[in-house]
Amino acid sequence: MGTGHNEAAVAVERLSKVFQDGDVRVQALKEITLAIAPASFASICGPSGSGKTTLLNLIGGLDQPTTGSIRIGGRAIEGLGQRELAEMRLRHVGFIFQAYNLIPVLSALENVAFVMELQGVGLRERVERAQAMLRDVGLEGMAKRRPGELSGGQQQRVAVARAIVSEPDIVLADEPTANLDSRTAESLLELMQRMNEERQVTFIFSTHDDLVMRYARRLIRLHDGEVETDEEKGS
Amino acid sequence: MIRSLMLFRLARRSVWRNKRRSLLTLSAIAAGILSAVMLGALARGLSDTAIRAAIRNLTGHVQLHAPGYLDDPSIEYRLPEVSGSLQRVLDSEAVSSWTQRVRVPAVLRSEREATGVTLLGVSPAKELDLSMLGDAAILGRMVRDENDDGLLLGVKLAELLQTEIGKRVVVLSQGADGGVAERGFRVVGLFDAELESAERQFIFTGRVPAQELLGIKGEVSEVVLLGQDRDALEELQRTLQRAAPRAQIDDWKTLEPFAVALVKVQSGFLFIWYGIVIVTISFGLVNTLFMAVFERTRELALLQALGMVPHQIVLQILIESAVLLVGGVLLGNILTYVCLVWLSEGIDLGSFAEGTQMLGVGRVIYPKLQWVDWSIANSLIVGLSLFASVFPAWHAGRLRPAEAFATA
Ligand SMILES: Nc1ncnc2c1ncn2[C@@H]1O[C@H](COP(=O)(O)OP(=O)(O)OP(=O)(O)O)[C@@H](O)[C@H]1O
Ligand SMILES: [Mg+2]
Repeated sequence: MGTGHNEAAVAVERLSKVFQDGDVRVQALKEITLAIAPASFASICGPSGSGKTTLLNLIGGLDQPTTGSIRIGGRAIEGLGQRELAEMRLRHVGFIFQAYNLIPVLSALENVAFVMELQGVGLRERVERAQAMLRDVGLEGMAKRRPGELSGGQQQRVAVARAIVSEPDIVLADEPTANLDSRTAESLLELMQRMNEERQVTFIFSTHDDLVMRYARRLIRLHDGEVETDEEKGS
Repeated sequence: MIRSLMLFRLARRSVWRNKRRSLLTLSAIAAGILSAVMLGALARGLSDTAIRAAIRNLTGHVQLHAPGYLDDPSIEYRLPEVSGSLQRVLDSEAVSSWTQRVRVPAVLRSEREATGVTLLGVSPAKELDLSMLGDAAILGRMVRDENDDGLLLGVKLAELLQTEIGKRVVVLSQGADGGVAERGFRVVGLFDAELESAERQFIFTGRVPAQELLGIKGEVSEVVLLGQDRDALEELQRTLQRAAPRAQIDDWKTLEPFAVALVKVQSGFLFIWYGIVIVTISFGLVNTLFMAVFERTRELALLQALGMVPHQIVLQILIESAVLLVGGVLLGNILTYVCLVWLSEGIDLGSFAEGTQMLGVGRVIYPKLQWVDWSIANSLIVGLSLFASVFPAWHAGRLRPAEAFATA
């Protein structure tokens, strides 16, 4: 979506985030600089508390940096207001969380169609696209089910479908497999990998999981809010 | 358009999904409406019964007397019988019913006992129309007409004096000449009124025999009338004053200060009750609506992460409140209607009746719904609920997605 030839999908520069909780001051990110190319399949790993979630939240515009800049598809998003950030998320970012990804009162189909509805896509088009998407993630018969009537793995598949269907520049997934057993996790990773290859969607996920790291084509290791290693695994 | 439809669908389903909490909120609103409206109707009914009883207790809407009679209701203060221009006013449209009476203090003596009473010389047909005699059960017979010299007593008084229908009793009073006027009467009937005090106090005979006894031919103690609307009598009073310049004219509010005071006290209580209901409801409402937000912090954060802007979140919560509010108001008014129909036969105070008699109120109270009370109660509850739902909605709009995820 409008990303130039040499433009990174995500570029962060000297990005810092400080949490101030009363007297306690935590520097979650320390001047991180990173560029992630379009159609990447990148994983951010590192020990608990190293800043993975914080980094994904900043990239997705769910939180605002203390200093530094963030560009999504060439557009700077630091300093945007809540409204503009929401607008940015709506058009350019898809999210997959660890759990509770879905709106409980909406069916699988409605969940997938929800973002398109917010974007103002017409009823017929959104239903068609959502149905096609559900078919693609292997949930053809589950369209009418509410999240409570789906297994954890099925819910994550719906979340993948929803994150991709609105054609965002990037999909951010914070520990998407943490609540799944290894077989279910593996099939979810295969799904995301296929989406990445077929549709050229940029995926950035965080994980503790060795399995996930094996699938990643780029592995960024954080430690205490700094990039420790950053390796490309040839593609 | 599409977006607000979506918000509405989300709101409706969220309300439906949290049935317990929604029911709680709904019933809080409905209970508020029910209690506020019903209490208003009961208080109005009580006031109305008290005023009506006072008016029926021989008071009427307006009375004419010779000046001085109210301070000392004796034979000395008399009016000429109605005639001429006063009669024309009394027979006009503005007066629905009127009569004139002899009304003096007297002593009633039976073979065994004697007691102080008020002797009334009346035109019986008119009294049936405008006083409590019309509501009372009559044993034996009524005084037939203004020439009938039969005597009608209250049941209670007959008991007290140990007399009964057919017996003779003696009435003693002061004559117009200052001497003692005394005469035997035959008891022809007993009346059983709602108020015991009336049964004990009043004895009735024809106007003419009473005038003869007291030596006041062609004169009466008072003229009593009912206008069309008890709350709009000023005009009528002015007309009457022009027709009878020397008479003192008073309306029921002056004649029955106790009933008026009672009504005022009740309005005071009504406002206190409104206050209590409203404070309770608003706490309950703010509480449940806040729960609706806190419980769903994560869900609301998700909506924001997906690209819903803060004002849509606010709107979403407000729509949820509105759905509950509309439901609660409907339910409350249906319940109120059912209650009013159920109680339309009146509430019989039965064993409490002794207490209410002291207040001059009858045994049965009829709830009376006034448009004003209904709209005040409804708009108060609706306004309050809207007000109470603004805080949680505002709070929801201020949730920051990252923090909301962190705390959930
Ligand atoms: N809202 C916050 N307020 C204060 N401190 C915070 C907040 N969010 C994160 N932190 C701190 O910032 C640091 C980085 O947290 P972050 O959640 O990014 O780590 P993480 O790598 O995602 O950890 P995990 O693997 O456990 O999810 C931690 O020390 C954490 O305590
Ligand atoms: Mg994390």
